[in-house]
Amino acid sequence: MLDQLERHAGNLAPYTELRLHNNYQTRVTMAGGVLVANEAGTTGGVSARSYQDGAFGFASLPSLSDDDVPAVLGRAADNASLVQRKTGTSKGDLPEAGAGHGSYDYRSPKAAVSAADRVEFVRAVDAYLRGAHPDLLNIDVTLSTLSIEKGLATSTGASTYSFVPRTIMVVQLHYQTDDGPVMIYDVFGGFGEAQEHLEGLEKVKPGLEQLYGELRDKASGVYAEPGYHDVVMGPDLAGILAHEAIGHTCEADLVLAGSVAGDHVGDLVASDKVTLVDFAGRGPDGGGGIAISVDDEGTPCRDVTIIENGVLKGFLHNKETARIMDAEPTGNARAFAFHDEPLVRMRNTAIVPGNDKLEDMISSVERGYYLKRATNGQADLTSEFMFGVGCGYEIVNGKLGRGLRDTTVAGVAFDMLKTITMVSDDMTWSHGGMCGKKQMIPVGMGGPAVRCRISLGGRQ
Amino acid sequence: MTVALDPTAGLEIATGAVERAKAAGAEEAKVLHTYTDLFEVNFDTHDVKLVRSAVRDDVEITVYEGRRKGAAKLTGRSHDAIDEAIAGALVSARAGVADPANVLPTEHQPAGSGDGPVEPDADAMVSTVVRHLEQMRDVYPLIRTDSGVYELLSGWSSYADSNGRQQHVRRTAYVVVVTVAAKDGDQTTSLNYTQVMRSDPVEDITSLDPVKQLFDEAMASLRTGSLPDTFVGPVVLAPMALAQLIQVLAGALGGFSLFRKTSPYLDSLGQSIASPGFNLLHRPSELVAADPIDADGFANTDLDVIRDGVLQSYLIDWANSIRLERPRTAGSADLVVEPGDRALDEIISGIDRGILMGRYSGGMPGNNLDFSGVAKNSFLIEKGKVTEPLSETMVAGNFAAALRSVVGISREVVDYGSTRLPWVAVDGITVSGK
Repeated sequence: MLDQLERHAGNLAPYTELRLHNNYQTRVTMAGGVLVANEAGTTGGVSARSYQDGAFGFASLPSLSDDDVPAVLGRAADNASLVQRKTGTSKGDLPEAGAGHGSYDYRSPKAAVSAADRVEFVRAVDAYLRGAHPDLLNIDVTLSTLSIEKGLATSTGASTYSFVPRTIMVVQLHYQTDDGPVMIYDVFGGFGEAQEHLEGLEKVKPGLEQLYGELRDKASGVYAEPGYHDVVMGPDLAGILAHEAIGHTCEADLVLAGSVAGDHVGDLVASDKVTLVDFAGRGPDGGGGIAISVDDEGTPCRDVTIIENGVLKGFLHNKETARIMDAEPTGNARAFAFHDEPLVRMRNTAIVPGNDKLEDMISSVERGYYLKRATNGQADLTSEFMFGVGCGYEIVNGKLGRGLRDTTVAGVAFDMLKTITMVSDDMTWSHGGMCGKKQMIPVGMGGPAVRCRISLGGRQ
Repeated sequence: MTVALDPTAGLEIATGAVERAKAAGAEEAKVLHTYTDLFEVNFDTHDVKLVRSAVRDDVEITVYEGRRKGAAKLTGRSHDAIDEAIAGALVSARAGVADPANVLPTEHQPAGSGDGPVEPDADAMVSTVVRHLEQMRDVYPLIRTDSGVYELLSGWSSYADSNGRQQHVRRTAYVVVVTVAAKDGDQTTSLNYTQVMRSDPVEDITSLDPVKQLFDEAMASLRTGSLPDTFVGPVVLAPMALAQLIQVLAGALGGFSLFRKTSPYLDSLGQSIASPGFNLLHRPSELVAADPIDADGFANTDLDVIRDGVLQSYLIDWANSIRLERPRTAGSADLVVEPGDRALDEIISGIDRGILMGRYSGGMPGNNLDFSGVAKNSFLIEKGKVTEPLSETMVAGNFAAALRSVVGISREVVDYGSTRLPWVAVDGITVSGK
């Protein structure tokens, strides 16, 4: 790809990004004991984005042919000119941001996994669960892979290639109760190609057994009491807390749209035990779910400390938000598919571990909840956030009690973060995060467990 | 080389790919080709930010061998690329597991061909957005647009299979999507959004019904209050909130849930599952966003799902119809709820204490349709009147139970193009404040 881009580098003016882009995907799904999906696919093409005095023009074609590059470059420039002509905008140049270089290829050195291997692994997981737990109402197992390959050249001199793979297996278990079916799921796998993760059934059996136990606890469990409670959020929830509650609120395009974070730079917005970072690489322990070294505007990526010891420090920028806010681009411009323009997106966002032990945190709660795994989440300009909780337990006198049915937690991040009194010394990354903001895109979310006070939705 | 892609060549591509799959050894094959031409104007509060042109040319190939199937998706239409995809699909099929549902239908009903422009009037579309931004400065100066999109999506869907079934249909929609909040000094409202699809160009974005409602609601939502207590009572679901829960209901009534026995509506056909007067209809003929054909080449036709509270039909696609040994009914869910005969104000006037919920921001509802989430863009109802906007208010309940506790359906409806819904008041929801 870099050679091909080099051939067109002389035509990238005045400000233009040229991207060659392939997304490779596979999916195998067993549901209800039947193989309902068994597919592979590639979507790819070329795109260009031009900038003229405050306006962008973007164009893409479903082709990687050299012959199509001039047409895409021309159309992108025409689109930028159209905005200029209709609006007369005059906003000046984009800021200097350095020009990223290099090849970041995360292909596995191991032999590739075949289509038969993928089907066989899913069948083995399904068969194991069916044999070990015939009381399950239904089992769904989906193994999916996504590898994103990009080559980028810009008029500012960036030239870079990347191949970033991810493999995840989602196991969904259903159990019949007197008031209807109850479901639980978990995600296995993470960064890397399938051959890095399909290491045999024995490797995933403990996780499957744990999931089954959690489902039985949930099936016989109770609804949360609505209202504010002392809560220990497990590491899985801390990751989505970092992403939804803070990360989105501190994306600079949302700050420009009115996010309350814009009014609080330099303020104490969280307990001094909270430090939250959007990592450019794979994080301090190397476990982040994605890897990006140069963003899709050609900016070398750098870590962004959003909150340091409770104080709000900075935002996530692309070149345009940096121009408007007189800041430095941080390397957060990302596009999901060849036909998508880069937007301000998070990378690996995490709360940094503290010094407490999870068991001490649970035993410190007289009456409350241990929330173990999240489902989905949403953010807001007000810093009000919510996320669904698919697995949790009561805490009674410092010990785990009955399981919880599905619930939702919500709060105002800049209030709730001040209630954090303990942060565990370990760290976990979620494996399958996909974030929706015009485009879906893989993200990494991680963190330790935190003890806090938060509102739960429930029934009287 | 794709510079001069013929947008109408989909049927030729699909039939050609079916022949190539058969020649490569597939017992049966089906191919769906979609060509999409997108022209999109992106804007924020003040400016047109980006104009985007994107062409997509996608082929989905499914091959069958010994009741096993494999599928491949690709971008482009070259014979080499299609042959490579077919080879991959055959590998997947041969590695697969037999399922009686892996068979092609023989029944065929041609879909209407559709109409609409293929080329956007780029100048006019940018001018429409520029006019909208000028109007916003005058009429709604406190509204902040996080992201706004006005786009024309046009293209063709073409289907062919080895049973000789063919479809070739146009798809055209003008789409407006806006995500906004109101900000006045240090007061910021929650983000809210709407998406509207129309078959004709939108001349006035600001006055488009769902968009204007969005702006007016945001303006009314500054300076929220907190609910001091928890109560169980009525919630008026605004169309956007209802749309989110209807999607969950559609899943529960779908063939995939029935086959996996995860639906709370197993064996409910002909039974009352909602209050009398509640009508849920699959109406692709009335919705701009509805695809004229489904993934198995069937024409997407109208169907009554719930009539006067009674379940008339499930939403069962081709493969699940075989697994369930039931008739195929619909391969998608293009749903509308029929309006009632009372004005929204009249419904609200009958509520002593409840909330008007603009948007549901919640956890993924469970199989049994339990839900729990935040009532966003919502207002308190007291003694028959909408009073203050709410923040940090949570709702929880069961949507199946709520459907049996409908206490009002408005005669006003909102047409999003993807669905058309009234306001629906349901009882028995737990509402909890700070």
